[in-house]
Amino acid sequence: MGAALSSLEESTTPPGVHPHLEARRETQWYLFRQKFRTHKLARVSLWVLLFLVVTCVLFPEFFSPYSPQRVFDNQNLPPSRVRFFDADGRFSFVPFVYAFTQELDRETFQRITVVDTEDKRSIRIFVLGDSYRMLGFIPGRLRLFGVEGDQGVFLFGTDKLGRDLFSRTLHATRISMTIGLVGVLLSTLLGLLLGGVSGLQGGWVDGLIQRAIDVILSIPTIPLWMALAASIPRNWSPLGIYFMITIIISLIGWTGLARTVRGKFLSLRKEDFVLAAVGFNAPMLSIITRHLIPNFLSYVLVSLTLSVPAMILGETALSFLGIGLQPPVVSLGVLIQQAQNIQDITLYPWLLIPGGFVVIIVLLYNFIGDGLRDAADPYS
Amino acid sequence: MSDHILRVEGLKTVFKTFSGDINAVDDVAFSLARNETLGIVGESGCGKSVTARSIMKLVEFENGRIDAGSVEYMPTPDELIDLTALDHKSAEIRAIRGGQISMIFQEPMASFNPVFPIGKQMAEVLVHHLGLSKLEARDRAIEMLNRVKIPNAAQRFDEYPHEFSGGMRQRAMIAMAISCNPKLLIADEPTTALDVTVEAQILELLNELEAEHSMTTIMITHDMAVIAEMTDNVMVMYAGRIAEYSSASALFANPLHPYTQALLKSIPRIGSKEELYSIEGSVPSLLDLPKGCYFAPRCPFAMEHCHTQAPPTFEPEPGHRVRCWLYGEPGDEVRAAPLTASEEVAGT
Amino acid sequence: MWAYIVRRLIYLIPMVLLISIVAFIVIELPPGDIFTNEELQLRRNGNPNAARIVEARREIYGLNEPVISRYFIWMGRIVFDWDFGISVLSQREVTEILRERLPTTLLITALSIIFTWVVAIPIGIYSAVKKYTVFDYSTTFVAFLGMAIPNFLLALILMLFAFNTLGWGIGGLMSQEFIGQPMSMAKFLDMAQHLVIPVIVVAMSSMAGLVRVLRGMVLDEMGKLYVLTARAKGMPERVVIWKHILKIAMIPVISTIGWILPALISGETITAIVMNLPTIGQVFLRSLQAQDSYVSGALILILSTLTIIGSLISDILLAVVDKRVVYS
Repeated sequence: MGAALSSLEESTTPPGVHPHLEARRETQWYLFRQKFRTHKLARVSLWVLLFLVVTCVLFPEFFSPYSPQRVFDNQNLPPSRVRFFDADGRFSFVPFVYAFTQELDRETFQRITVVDTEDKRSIRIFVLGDSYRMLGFIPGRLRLFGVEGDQGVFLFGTDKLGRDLFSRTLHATRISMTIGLVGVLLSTLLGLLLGGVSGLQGGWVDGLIQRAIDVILSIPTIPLWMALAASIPRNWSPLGIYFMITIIISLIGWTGLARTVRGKFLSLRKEDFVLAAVGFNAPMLSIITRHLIPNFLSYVLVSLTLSVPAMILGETALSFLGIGLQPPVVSLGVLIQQAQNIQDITLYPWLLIPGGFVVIIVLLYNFIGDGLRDAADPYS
Repeated sequence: MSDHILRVEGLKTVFKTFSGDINAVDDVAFSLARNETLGIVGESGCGKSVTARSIMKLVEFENGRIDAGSVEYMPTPDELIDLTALDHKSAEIRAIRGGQISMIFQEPMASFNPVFPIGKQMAEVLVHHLGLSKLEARDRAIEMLNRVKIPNAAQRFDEYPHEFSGGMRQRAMIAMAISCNPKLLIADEPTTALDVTVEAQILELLNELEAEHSMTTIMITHDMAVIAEMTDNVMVMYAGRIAEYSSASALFANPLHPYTQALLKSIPRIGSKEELYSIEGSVPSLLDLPKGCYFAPRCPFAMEHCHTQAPPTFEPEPGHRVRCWLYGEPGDEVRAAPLTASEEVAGT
Repeated sequence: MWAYIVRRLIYLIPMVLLISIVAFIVIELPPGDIFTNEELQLRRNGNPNAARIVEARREIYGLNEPVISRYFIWMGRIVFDWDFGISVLSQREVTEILRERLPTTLLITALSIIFTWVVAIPIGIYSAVKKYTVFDYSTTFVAFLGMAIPNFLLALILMLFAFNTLGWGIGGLMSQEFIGQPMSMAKFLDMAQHLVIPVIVVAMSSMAGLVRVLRGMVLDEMGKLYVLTARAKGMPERVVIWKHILKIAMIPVISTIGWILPALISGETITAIVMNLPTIGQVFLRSLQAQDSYVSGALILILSTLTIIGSLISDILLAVVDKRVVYS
């Protein structure tokens, strides 16, 4: 409230201008943005999210050093230690890694990594690496960083086939995030449509849709998703599977929004300002667009944002179980699947890093959604 | 030693908000004699409720604090307790709240907890203050419900707030408030939310109870008619300060403060065909109070120094005090919360 | 009051029917039936009679009937004979599988609910009463985290921690040496230890959500008039919060048991798979992958019915706590 008050005080009226004209500037949208700004966590999250979008969704090829499919000789490598100080304590402006070999420890019979402190390999910026097609069609080879020499730099280590986990994670994040978005768009449309019809029409249509929602909500989500996902024929193309999974997750998610929209429509129908508009003989369409929709647009926005985490978690869960996305389409859930048993995680804990990405993305969306909700609420 | 039951001096209550500190009550002082009914009247937001809650030390629960002043409570002529010195969560103040000083509120529906039966909420007070057993409390509560003329009291005891009508709820609230025989009853706009006919019944009930129990009452309202009906003395508040204090009859016969005059002028008269009078301007925001007299910007009689210096309390007629430069010069001021003759003798 | 309960009970029946239809549709979606895999196997082994053998089986089970008849046959057997069909994967009656696995599922779910309430309610209330303090901020942070971590990931992390740092045996319901042994104190404690992580994992996200909801409710209520009245009556803060506010703040808690239940069962399913617990989870996954339809169908039906019963219980509890509901 403080922010809103101070913004009102700040809008000084130039001399000669009627005060009423100044007040017009305080539109709902303006107040909304102002309030969102006061939620620091949400603002920071928005920037971090944008950062992720640029690095992982739009240009992962550029930001990752290697192609996600590229196989190296070194399996299950721990994350490379990028250093600025060498073994003698000298500072190097250019970061570097040491060359390494993998040996078998006589006592534990485990493979350990031994670094060669004589052999420094510098990290280089803007190197030419594996070729790619940016955004699907722009060919190129330029990558943000790489390392000189024949060994690779693995910021997140490698998996059991010797692939760079960092590059794989960036690409997987792209898949996980876009599935979330597409799924959310679908379920939002469904929710708006069915909720709107339900609220406006009333009667048996409303009853039917409400019963359907009740039924869907009664069936535990993950078992339902599992059942639906398992019924996708295995021989479909990866892209086809991708879309089916998206549709499946969104089928469940629309119920929340539908309920809210229906509730809003039902209560708004009786609102004084709607009755007033009707009393003034305003045409129905203009009532809907100028009075009803702006009212719950913010709710839709909030619901959208807060549904994305559910979608992402759903896809991750399904892929983790093996009935979601399949390689070569790699999402964060697929990556985590490689870390399914205790032995693997104990020996190679870096395999869980993609899980950390999931958590961070979900948190980001939750914070932003929280900020949006606070901004949209006129009474808080 | 004193036939005052309450004396408030220099009370200043401040609320902390995101936009800064709000001075809701500023330099409020008055004395309350035993068995007197004092009315506090003013527009919404003038600080009348906050004054009451400050007395009860309830403002601390809402980001408020008493920055200055004292509230002296004298349950018997021989005792004196400074309420402002008590911690708002202490057992002492809690013994006084409900047991000796009771308060009833404006919204009877919202004042009761909707998920407990009314009887239980009434019994709660009795058990806490009088140490009655559950059965004793029940009997006494039903007795009180009968006293406030609620039919079927025994059955009503077990019913929930939403099963009562508005007027009945307010009666139950009154019953609850007086069940421990408090010495002072503070009624914060008790009839504002009720129909006129119900209002009349409630006011009548209050009058009866006051006489019966020798209760001192503070009646907070914005309705001048209620003041005329119920009160002995009246205090007019504006933007957190007292504007005028006098007996009810004197206030209506001879309002001194320009604000009081304007208030009385704006009451519509049945049968009159004049245009409705409204005071020019609006109440200042508590975040941005003017210097000097708060009412000066709207006052038709405002003089130069009204805008720069806040007027002290003058007493142009005995028992009729006003804070307005029209009635005195610096040096004429009196004490807002006068001592009684016996207090002066004792040198209090 | 009773009329309300009866009304809700009657409402249950069409819901279960609808769910059975949905369950049936979902089961029927994949092409083929429970014998498809078997047929494939027989063919691979070069058995010339593969088709005929499988056809005979199909006849016995009425799998060649039209869809609608199959539905009624299936539901008929369940309702009248308590016969859920057979599992081709494990060559057992589904009823037996249910009897074996359902109790553990219920146990974990029930424990999770209790754990959620016991932990989340005090924390939610305290973080509201002491808002903007370190306690409040840290619990909010943990709550957000709890809602963000996928439960299987949490399970993995906790297992890692328990195994490496605490030296616990994990996985399964009990350690090797107790399997098949009669119940003893040692066995009981061992099982309890094995249950700790599953319960925490399953309860985590609903716990986190509850803490936030409760905090919001209590903050809302604290500004209300009846709280002021209670204080004005001289009631100690303790009574104001734990008697007056709690009862009202509990209302959304109780009314949401109905929705927490599917989330818990959902979470329990996947957690059980990760942690190798003898509950519904693994059986369900395997039956889906092998198209063991009777099993999957029965499980969806049972799980959903449990959920509906849960929401019925929560509605009844709600009516007991908040009398306003009954009159609407």
